[in-house]
Amino acid sequence: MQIYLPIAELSVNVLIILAMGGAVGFLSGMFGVGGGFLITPLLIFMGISPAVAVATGANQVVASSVSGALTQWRRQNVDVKLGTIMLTGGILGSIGGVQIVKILRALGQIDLFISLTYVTFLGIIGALMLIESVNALLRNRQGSTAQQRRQSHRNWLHKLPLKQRFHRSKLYISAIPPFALGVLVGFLSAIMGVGGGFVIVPAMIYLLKVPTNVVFGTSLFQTVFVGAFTTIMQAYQNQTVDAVLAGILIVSGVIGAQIGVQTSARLKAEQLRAILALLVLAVAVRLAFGLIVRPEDIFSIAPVAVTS
Amino acid sequence: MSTSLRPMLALAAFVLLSLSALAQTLAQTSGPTVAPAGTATAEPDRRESIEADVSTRNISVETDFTGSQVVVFGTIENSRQISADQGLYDIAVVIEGPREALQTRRKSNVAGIWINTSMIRFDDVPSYYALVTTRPVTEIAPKPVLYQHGIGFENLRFQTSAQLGVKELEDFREAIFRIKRRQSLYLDQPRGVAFIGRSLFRASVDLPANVSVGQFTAWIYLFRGGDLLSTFKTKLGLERGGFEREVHNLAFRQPFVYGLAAVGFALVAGLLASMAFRRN
Repeated sequence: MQIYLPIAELSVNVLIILAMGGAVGFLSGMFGVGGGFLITPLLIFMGISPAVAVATGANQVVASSVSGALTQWRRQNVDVKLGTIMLTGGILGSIGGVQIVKILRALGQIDLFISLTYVTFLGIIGALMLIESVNALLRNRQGSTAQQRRQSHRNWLHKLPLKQRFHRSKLYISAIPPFALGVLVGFLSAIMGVGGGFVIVPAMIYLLKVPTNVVFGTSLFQTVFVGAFTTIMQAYQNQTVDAVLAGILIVSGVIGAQIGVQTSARLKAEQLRAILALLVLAVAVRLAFGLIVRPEDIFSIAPVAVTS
Repeated sequence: MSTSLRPMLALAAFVLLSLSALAQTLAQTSGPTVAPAGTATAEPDRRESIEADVSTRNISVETDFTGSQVVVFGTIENSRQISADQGLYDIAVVIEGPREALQTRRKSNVAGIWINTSMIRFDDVPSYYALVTTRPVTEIAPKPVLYQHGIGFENLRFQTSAQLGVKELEDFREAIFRIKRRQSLYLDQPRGVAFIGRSLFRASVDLPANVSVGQFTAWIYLFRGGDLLSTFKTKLGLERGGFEREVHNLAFRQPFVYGLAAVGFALVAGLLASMAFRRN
């Protein structure tokens, strides 16, 4: 069953898109991530232009993170103050990112920039996650009591000004690091079409030392808003959100996500993290491959974007 | 409904044309006996010309659009062909899509990564170009004739303001042809026009799903012995229709509302799914 996409301007098989949305939704529910980092590259591999893929990916992220955010909210796992600071940064980052997308599109370098950003971030984070989870798995196998060595020494982040008290996170830290983190994630949301969970979660745990239960809720909270903001910005500035494509992805994605959540309860956290790390690395490698291998045709064509 | 009607209309038009051609044939065979003896040398009415049309003048691009097929059909007035396979005439059909500005890029390897390093903008590249003929176009007419009338890929010229050497410019031009052919947007069917009887001909041309919307022009050229005898021009249009059109218009005319709607749908879908699964 073929459907013609109004913005991507090509005909795709609905069943393939539904399957893709469902599979990524399942993984995102299982690992508690938005899944944007999987959706966007998959759309690009399918032949959808990267600019449309990132904008549509951001739209899909909203759907996949909203139900999780709400669940966490009910469990009082959202630090609204921390989330709002990150969100403010996120909106600024997103505005910047959307402008950069616009400029790079005109320069013809957007594809390269998206790929490079993906390879860099997914490569680093995938590698770190893999090392961490393999270590955790080995520790468990050796039976040594996995002592949660919570580093209590104060790092340089604590020397920054504008200190705020974050009650729910039980933290007294400067507002600058969460704000900066927000800016980075907002930027990535625009460039990569991701919610940024894969950056924000480790950064909150290891840099800001936010308690893990609050991390996921707060991360999802800000992802919903940054994703929504990025979608509107992309639609407004670049006209690259394909609502039909996003709609199909979302319908199967949200169902897949719910099944994923239920499945994840049966797996160990370390195993989940290791699988996720491999997945992240696989996407990075695939994209890196595309940059390094000589393309079949070194020429490419693109219609000149109508400047509105 | 209208999509199923179109082929029927085309068929009806085709039959009508066939009948008129038949009537003409009859008139011609009986012609000399009726004609006054004095006008036997001057035959101004006997010059061949073509009349043609396309099966679908308006193609609607809707959500179920997977490409379209256009039948070009017509007749040679005053045909002197004895049969369909005599090969006295050649027909060339050119269908050209709306011209658009195109950015052409070439990658080169910079520090191990393939990067677009040079770019040329061409201002008026046909988004679609089909050349359908009775036999390879170079066999139909000598190059100067084809050049004069701008028939064929070789005679497609694109405007650019880029300052480049001839060789380099040619590389970019060839790249456009190569890529467009790969996308089925440029096509060459050297045996795509078929004669049916002495004067009727038909050709079917594919418009792929990735075709641009807008005004298309069809030119039909009649050749005999390398000379262009007659040209016929007709238009066809591709327009967005139905839901497809609504979505596209909203996205470009009211992008903010469109963005809000996209986010709204995502929020509602996410919440509905989590509610549905909680009950189970």
